[in-house]
Amino acid sequence: MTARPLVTVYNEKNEATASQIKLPAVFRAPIRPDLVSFIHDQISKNKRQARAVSTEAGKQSSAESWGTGRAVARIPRVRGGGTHRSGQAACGNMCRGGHMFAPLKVWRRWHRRVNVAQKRYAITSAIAASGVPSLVQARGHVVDNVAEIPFVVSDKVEGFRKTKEAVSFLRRSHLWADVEKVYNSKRYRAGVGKMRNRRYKQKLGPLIIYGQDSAIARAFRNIPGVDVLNVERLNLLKVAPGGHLGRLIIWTESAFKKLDAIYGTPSTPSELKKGFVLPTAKMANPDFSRIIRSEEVVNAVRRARKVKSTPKVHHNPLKKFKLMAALNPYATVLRDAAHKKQKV
Amino acid sequence: MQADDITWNILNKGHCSYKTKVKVKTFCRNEYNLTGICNRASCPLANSQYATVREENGVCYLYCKVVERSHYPRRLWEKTKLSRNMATAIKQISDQLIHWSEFVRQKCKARLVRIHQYLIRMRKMKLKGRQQKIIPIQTKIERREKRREEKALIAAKLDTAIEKELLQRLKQGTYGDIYNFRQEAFEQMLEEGERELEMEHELEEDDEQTGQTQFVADFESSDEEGDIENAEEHWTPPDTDSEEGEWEGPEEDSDDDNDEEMDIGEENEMDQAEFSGDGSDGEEIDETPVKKIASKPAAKDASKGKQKKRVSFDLPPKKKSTKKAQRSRIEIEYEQEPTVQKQKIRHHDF
Repeated sequence: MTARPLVTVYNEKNEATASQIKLPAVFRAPIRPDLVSFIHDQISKNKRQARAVSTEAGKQSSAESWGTGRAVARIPRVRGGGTHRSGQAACGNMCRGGHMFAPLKVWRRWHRRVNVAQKRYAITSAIAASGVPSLVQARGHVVDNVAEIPFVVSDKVEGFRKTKEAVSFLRRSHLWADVEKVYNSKRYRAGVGKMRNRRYKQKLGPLIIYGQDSAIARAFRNIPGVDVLNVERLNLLKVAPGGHLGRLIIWTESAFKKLDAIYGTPSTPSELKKGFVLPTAKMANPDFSRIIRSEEVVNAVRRARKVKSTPKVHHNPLKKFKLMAALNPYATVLRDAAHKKQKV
Repeated sequence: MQADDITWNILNKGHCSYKTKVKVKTFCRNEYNLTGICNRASCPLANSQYATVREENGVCYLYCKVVERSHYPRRLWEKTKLSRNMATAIKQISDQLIHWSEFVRQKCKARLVRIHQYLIRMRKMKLKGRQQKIIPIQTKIERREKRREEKALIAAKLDTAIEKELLQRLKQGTYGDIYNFRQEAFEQMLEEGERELEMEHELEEDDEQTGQTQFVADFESSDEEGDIENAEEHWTPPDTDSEEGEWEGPEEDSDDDNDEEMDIGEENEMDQAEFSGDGSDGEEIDETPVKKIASKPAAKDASKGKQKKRVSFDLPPKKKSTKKAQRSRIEIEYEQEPTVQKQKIRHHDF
């Protein structure tokens, strides 16, 4: 499918406008869930902040081992007397009040560097996957009544200043069901994260990608689940959240047009990303089952060889005379002689 | 580029929100799925050309989708109404899905047959007139509500509320004189009322004994008892010079909380009053007597023990009078025989 179809642009009232844009080549990039998952993993580590246990934790007692001969284990014990604590074990990961095994250090390798080419590949893959309605549905978005995927909207949306306008646009375009899904999914987080400023969890809704900096982010940012991105600075963590492909993306017209310039086409390299050419798939036509059953292939291929796998049955020559005769030709003579004797 | 094989690979090996795994089987919760099982052939997302039969309000429809419309979710599914007659409907399916994959055609027909079967059953069931609808019990909610009911019951303090209400009615006199209450309970009730009145009456009335001098014995351990005037609520330690180790229980004769400073004489008087009051009206609830019964024998011993040492102070007489006054309000008169203190025999009717 190298022929690139035309994508209709819809206005903010969800009516098809006259303008149609040729599908950017990015949407033909190979979809690599394995790569996207890996890169997402790596990139998500980059926002981490160091945490560690205090260096003196569990070591702040002047405990010394009592040595042998005292009928106690040789672990260091607290000096002094007059309190419960005296004589108790200290300074071991097995001891109460001792340091932990392998105390956490801040010089753990928190961040990961990812090759630029790989990062770019992952993003193109994620964008391509967002153009496949099945994958978007499988990820969990409610797209039953959306007019078209990929969904491109006129630039009027970029001019929105009020959240009210944004909401009415989402409603008209039948995207509000996805936002409602977010509302319904708000729940408490399980675990200690509740008291660490991560109290609530909720699903993600649609992602809006715009082409020109404007106040669009302010119009959409208060709607739960909705994310807003500039097309020139796409974030894999938002386009493929959790490493899963197929986020529901709403493109503005200018953003959509820019995609060809940013990522290039198979014939033209990218203007904005130096030295970047769209990745090519290993298989031009990935429909494997169709290929092997196609006329050309079937005719070109020789007949399948039947493997003769009859197991050899071994009979007993003492019971089967013919076998005996085959093995020992003289057996026939013996048998005939025996018969003659009997008759007489 | 959309290719079914790639989509299936992602959905099967990766994540699909419609996939539900039970121990042995994987199901597909997509409403357009023909079989309900998560399969390469059954997956409505991984097959660009697909068809289903679905029933709405008793009418069966055939839903078809083709590759050409795959990017327009709004008009993806083509809906054709199937005839009510099952045979003609099956023929309709065959015509619509001619040249389609055998699997889809076969499963559509099978699904149609199944739908018709359950529709018939539904109609039969309605005729049977089964009124009961089975609702599942949500154990979590049941458990939670049950516990909350228990807590609410405890918080309501029904017993005390009822008691208060009944006592109030008794005080008001709504019951008149119809009830026979146990003496002890009645006394307790009276004591409660007295305590309230004592506060008021203490300074008001002048006794016959005011102004008269009395000669009293030495105070041996008087500090504890004489100084505290309104010690009804406090437990005072017993006399140290009385029998060592003998702990006298809280003096009875009304509530346990009542003052234990009370003179033996007073006690006797009270008993006498109780005794005499037995036959007459004593309207009280049965609850309070329980306390009294338990403490009475102890008090009995205490009184005997104390008779040796106790001396009358100024304080008790006042109380006598107030009690008398109190009692008279409740229409019961008691004889006062202060001289006959020590000779009094206690009669306890239980």
